[in-house]
Amino acid sequence: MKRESAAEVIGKADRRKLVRLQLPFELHYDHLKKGGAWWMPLAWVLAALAICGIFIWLNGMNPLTVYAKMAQGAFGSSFGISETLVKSIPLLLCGLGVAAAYRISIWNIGAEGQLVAGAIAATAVTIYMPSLPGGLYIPVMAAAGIAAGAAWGLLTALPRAWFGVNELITSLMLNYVALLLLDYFVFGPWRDPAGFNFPGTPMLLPEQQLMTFQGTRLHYGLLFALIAAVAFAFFLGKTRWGYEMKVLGANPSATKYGGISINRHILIVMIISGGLAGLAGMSEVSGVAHRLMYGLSPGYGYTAIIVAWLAKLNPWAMIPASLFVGGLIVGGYSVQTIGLPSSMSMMLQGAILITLIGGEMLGKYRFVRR
Amino acid sequence: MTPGEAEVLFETLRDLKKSGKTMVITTHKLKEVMAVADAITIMRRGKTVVECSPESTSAARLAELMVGRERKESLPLQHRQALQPLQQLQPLQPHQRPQPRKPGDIVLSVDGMTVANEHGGRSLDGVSLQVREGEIVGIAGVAGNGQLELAEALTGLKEWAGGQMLYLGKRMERSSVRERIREGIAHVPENRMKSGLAGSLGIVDNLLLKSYDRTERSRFGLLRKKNNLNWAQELVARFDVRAPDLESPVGQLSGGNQQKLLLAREISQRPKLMVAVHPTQGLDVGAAEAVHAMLKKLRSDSAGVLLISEDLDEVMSLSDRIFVMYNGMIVGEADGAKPDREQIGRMMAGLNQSEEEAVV
Repeated sequence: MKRESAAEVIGKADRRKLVRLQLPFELHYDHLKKGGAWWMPLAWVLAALAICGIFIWLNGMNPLTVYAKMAQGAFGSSFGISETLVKSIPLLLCGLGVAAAYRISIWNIGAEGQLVAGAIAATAVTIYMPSLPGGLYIPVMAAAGIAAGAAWGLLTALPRAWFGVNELITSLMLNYVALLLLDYFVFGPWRDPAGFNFPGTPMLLPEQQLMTFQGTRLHYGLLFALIAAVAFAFFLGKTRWGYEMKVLGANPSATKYGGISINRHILIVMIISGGLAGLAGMSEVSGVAHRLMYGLSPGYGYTAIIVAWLAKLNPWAMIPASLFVGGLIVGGYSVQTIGLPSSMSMMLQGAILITLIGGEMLGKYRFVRR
Repeated sequence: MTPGEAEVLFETLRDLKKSGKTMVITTHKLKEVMAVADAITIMRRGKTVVECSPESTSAARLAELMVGRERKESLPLQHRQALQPLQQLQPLQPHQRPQPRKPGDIVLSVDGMTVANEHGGRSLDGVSLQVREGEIVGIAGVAGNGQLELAEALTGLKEWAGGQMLYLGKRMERSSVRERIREGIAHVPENRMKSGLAGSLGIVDNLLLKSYDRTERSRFGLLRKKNNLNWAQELVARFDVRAPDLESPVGQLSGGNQQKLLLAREISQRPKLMVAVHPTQGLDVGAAEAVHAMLKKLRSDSAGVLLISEDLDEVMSLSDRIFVMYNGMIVGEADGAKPDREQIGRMMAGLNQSEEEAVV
C-alpha cells in the first residue's frame, strides 16, 4: 500500500513535468485564466473537422467534398435551412437549460428526459382535456410541458440539494425512466387504435399544433427558443439572480460567505433547465411530430450539451451554435446520397465535444518564455 | 483527529522509529511535540527561531518562542540573530497608542457559545465574551484552538450547538449569514482568496457581494450598473486599491490590494461589529499598516472589533483587551495596555503556573 501511494505521488509529479519538455517556452496552468478568446471554439471545431477528415479520407473520399455536401444540404436551399432551423429549436431550448445548470457546476445531463417528460405532459393535455376552447390548447400544452420538465429536473435537484446525491447519475438515469415512460404510453394506453400498430398517439388536432411558417415545417417554437435566449441573457446580465449565479459559478465558498443559498440556486437552475427542455418537448410534439411517438427525440437533450459548450455557456452565442449543430444533423442526412452513413454527423458531434472540452482545459495554460 | 486516533498515530510513529525511520511532524500542538519529538525546531515567519530537544525545554517555553519573545538574553547566542526581525515588531509604546475611549455600549455579548466538531467533540466549549463600541478585542491563541470556529459561528457560517449571542440587544445565534450581514456584522475571513473574494471576477462584482441586494445597489431585482460602477470607483480610490482596471480578475491583484479591497467592501457597509481573522496574513509591511489603520479607524468610529490572529505582536499592539483561547475555551484575559507576553504565552500553551512544572 505504501508503494502504491509513493507511485501515485511520482505519477502526479510526472504529469506536471509532461508539459515541461525542453522547449523554448514553458506552460503554466492558471486556473484564473478564462479559457481563451471568443474565436477559440471555432478553432476547436476546425480541429474536429480535420480529425474526422482523416477518417473520411481513409474511407476513400475527399473530406472537403463531403463537408461541402453537408453544408449544401444544411444551408444550401430553403428546404435545408428550414430543416436546420427545425432541429435548432430544441437544441437551443435544451442548450440554454443545461447552460444555466453548468454555469454553477450542476452537471445536468438529463435534458433528454426532461424533454420527454414535457412531451408526455403536453400530449396528456390533448388526451385528457378534449374539450378545451381551441385557442387555449397551445398555452396550456406549453405550460404543462414546462411544468413536467421542471418537475423532472426537480427529481434531480432535490436529492442533490438535500443529500448531496450526484446529479450526473440521477439526471442520466431519469432519462431512461422518461424514455421508458414514453414507450409505455405509445405502445400501451395512448396508442392510436387506427394507427396500424404504429407506436404513437393519434395525430393532434390542428388547434393543438403550433403554427408553421408558410410552406415549411418550421414552426413557431422558434419564437419560444429566441425569447428564451433573450430572457436568459437579460436575467444573467442585469438581475440580482444573475449576479448570484456569477458569484456561485466563480467561487462557491464566497457565495456561502456572502450569505447566498447555494441549494436555492440548485433548485432554481434545475427548474429552469427542466422547464426549457420540457418546452422543447412540447414544441416537438406540437410543432414537428404532431403526435407523441416512439423515438420522438433523436437525442436532442444530449446534443444540446455540445451546443452549450460550443457557445461557452453564453446565451447569445448559443443561437449560432444551435444553428451550426442543427445544420450538422441535417447535413448528416444529405451525405447518405454519396454513400456515407448519416452517423457522420454523430462522429463530428463527438469529435467537436472532445476538442472543445480538451481545448477549454488547454486554454488555461499560459506560454511562458524560458 | 480524536485523541484516540492521535494515540494510535503516535504509536505507529514510535514503531516506525524503532525500525530506523526518520519522521518530520509539522504541528501547532505543543503537547504532541513534547510527547513524540526527539528534536524540535520552532519556526516563525518563515525562519528558524530555535532548535532544541524536548528534555531541555517546556511547552510553555515553546509557546513563548512561537509567539516571539522580547528578552533575547535568555536564548542561546546562536539564535539571537534569527530573532532580530522580530525585534522590529514590538508592541506600540503607550504614547503611540490611540487614546483609550470611554468604554461604549456592548455591541456583542456571547454566552456559553458551543460548536460541535466532526468527531462528536467540541471545537468551541462554552466561550463567553463581550465586545463594546469603540474597542478592539484581541483573540490570541495557537492556530487550531477554535479561533476560526469562533469567527464562523459569530458570522453564521457555523451552526451553534449551544449558547447565545446578543448583538445590539438582539438574539442572533440562529440568524442566517445574510441577516447578520444586513445587521452590520462584517467579516474578514482567514483566507481571502478561498472565501472572501471570487478570484475570477472583477472589482465591482467583488465589492457588491455584501450589498448587492440593498436598494442603493439594485432596484426591483435589477442591478443599478452605472450607480454601482461609480460607487466602486469611489471605494477603490478611498481605500487605495491599486488595480489596472475595475474589470480585471481580482485574483491577479497583489495580496495587499486584495485585502484592501475586501476591507473596503466590509467597511463600506458601516459595520457595528467587525470580525477580522488574520487580517494581515501574508501582507507586506505597507499593506499590513494600512489594514491596521482601517481597524483603528473602525474603532474610533465606535464599531466593535474582534481581532483574531496568530500573530501575538499584532494582537498586542492593537487590542484594548486580549482573550487567550486554548482548546476551544477562553483560558485567560489580559489588559491590552500592559500585556504580559510570557503569561499570555503560557496560557496559549494551555498551561497555568501550577501545571507548568508537572508537564516538564
